[in-house]
Amino acid sequence: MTAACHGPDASVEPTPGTTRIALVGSPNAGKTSVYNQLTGMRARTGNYPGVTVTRTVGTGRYKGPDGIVEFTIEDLPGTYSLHPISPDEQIVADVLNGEMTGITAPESLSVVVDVTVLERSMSLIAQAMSLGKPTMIVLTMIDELATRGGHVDIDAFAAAMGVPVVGVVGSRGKGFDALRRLLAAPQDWPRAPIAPPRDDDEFNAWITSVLDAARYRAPEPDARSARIDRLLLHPIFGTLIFFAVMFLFFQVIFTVAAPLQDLVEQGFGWLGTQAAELIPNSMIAGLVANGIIGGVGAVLVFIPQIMLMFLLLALLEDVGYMSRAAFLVDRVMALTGLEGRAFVAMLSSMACAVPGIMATRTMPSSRDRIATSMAAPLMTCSARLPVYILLIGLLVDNSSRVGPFSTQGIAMFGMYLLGGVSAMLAAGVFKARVLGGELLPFYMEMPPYRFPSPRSVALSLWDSTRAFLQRAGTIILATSIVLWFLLNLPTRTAEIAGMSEADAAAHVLDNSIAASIGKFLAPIFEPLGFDWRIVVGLIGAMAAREVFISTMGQIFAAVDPENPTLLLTSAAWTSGPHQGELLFNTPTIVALLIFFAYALLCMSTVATIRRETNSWRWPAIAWTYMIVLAWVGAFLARQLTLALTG
Amino acid sequence: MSSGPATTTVSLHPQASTDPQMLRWVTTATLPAELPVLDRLVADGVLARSEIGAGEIRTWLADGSSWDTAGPVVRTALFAALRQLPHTPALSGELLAERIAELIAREVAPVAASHGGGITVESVREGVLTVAMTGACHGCSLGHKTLDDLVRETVTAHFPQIHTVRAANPRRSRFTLGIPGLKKSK
Repeated sequence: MTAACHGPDASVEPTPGTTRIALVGSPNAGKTSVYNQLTGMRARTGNYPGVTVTRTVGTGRYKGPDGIVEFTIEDLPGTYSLHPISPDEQIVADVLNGEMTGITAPESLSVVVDVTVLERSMSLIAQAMSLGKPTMIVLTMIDELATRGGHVDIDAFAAAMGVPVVGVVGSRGKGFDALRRLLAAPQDWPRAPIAPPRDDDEFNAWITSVLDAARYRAPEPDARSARIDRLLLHPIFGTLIFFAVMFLFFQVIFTVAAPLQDLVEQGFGWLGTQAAELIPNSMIAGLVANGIIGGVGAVLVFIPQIMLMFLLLALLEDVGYMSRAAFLVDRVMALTGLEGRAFVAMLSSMACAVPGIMATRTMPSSRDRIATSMAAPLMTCSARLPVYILLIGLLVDNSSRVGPFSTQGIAMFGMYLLGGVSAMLAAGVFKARVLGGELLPFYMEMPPYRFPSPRSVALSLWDSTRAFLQRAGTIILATSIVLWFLLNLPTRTAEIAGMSEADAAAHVLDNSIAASIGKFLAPIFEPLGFDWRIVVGLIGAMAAREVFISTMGQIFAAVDPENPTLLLTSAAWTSGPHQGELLFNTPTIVALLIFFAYALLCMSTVATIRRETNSWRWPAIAWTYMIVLAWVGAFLARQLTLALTG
Repeated sequence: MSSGPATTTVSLHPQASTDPQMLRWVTTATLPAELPVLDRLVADGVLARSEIGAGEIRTWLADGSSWDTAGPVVRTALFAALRQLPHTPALSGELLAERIAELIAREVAPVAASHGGGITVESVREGVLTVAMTGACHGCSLGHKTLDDLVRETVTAHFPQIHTVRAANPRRSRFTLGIPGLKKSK
């Protein structure tokens, strides 16, 4: 194979006045692909050795802060060693030593190495470093190393080698901004303090030590995992399987947990009645039965779903699937221009946006951090989960099926999908409008598939359940108590004298402090179909989204302490033009779902953005854009549902 | 831990530091409290002074010399000395704890810090290392596992006498209803 297919000879002369950097690497190391990315020249790439035999020179550009810097790249023929055996290798040695007639030696070297075979490439790197020119290393196939169970810490590798190292994914163009920045200024490269040893034993000790420092692990030939991954990481089938897995995930949550949920619900109902009967003081009885048991209990009802979800997540993670899922999603996310570390932040936000936003600290550019923080709260966090379960439960009947699938499960899958897609779009918009920046390769471990260990699954299940209970016992409890007082004060003892118990409760509620706040704000939300009671729930949700449920539980149990969910379905507007109409009708529930998906209700998140960006500007922007999205989205969703349902 | 510390071959490489006169010789060998070869290099005028740390020997160049010439000499001498070392040199409890703390501060803490978390050594007792993890790593479904493994791998590679690594404080979940990082304990 010769390289007669290369472009015209005009390309061979280096651009005058620029530094000349030679690419050195063994055949198949991905050298030509790196060269093409850098120069934009379409030299042939392929897997067969010897494509680059003639001389190929191109110009690369780096757009730095001080303008554009050009550099000349010379793509040398592939070689395994600088101690030549073949004629091609002789050419490389001659060029590098300045022994080729008419061609001066390049000023600096960039050694291109396939990271999956790093260990056996070390001698070529050592030989290049021994030439005494500024040298750097480009590691290719970084993504393949990860997918095949290998690992390398590039920064540690660079520190151990004493020269700059960049990891790239040639096919996806990842890592090339960092590479261009380096190539633009070879004079600034750090140099190894001592050339690598020549003595064989010392040389082996050096390789062992450097690879160890870089925590290098060659791809594991775990045949079973590799076979499974060929399917599960396949760009098309893998993605389809990922969606199927997530779809079934929500199916299981809804179909399996429903009977358990009924039991828990009955338990709390019984507890509430007991408290109401046994506590003599009616004020305290009301607080305990409605405020605490009715409020917090309404949230705790969802514990079967939540435990089940964490159980499934723990199983998926322990089996090794979550890492693959992350890898697949990262592939999609690369389209939006987001880098891998942003993805980690997004993933954390599925639990809670607070640690998610804190995870953005790993990103070097403050502008990247901000864009990710702006989008992360849109991911479906676990506080939204019980709210969605409640609303979806009101929206569609538990027994409703689409084919063999639970409609509720489909709806929940849709909500998670909506959150994920919206977060990515938001990040994409912020990335495009607010910032530029480079795309870094995403380094991720791919553990081999294995059977889940019951212990670690149980541990993680316990961890998350405890966290949920803790939340219910602290912030949700506290907010519920505060809301109970706001909903039951002033007592209006004189006014309710002689009324029936239910009428009295309704009268107090309707004239409570909370009601006056809710009624004041209600006109803003009227186009969405929300009355003042929902508005009070939304205000409570600012402490924690789940408080929305506890507030609904309190308000609608105030009239009838029996099953609050049942009551929500029959609750009607108490005043205004809609009086008598059902409050939780389909368009309003849909609007509420959309509102919860987009609104930045959670004040912990706002405080975290404030702390991480050290200004009120970004939390203000985030809150504003999300409330606008939430309102407009909910309004459109309501109108659309109205049109569809007639 | 699957990969034991029992590497029969010596590992050694130099790493530059911010001080051009100082080179760090990194090795996975468990270093004793003293190495006679270092005194000899100082006596011969190759080095100004030296220091033994956790998994590394720090050497300062003698005046008027350069690493180009002195480096290979030091490397060959250290390599020969490390080859002769017993497998697990005895270290006093205090020195061991100090070295492990140094190692964790150097190798693991920056990783934790980059995720908004922190890690410090609580105690070293009878082969059990107890570390305290703080900060933001909880809630990240990937973070904890990685950090646990990193501590275990880093420490046992240099100090085979440590057989168990424990976290002092179970992670708190203040805000989060976390999708947890699984705590792996083998």
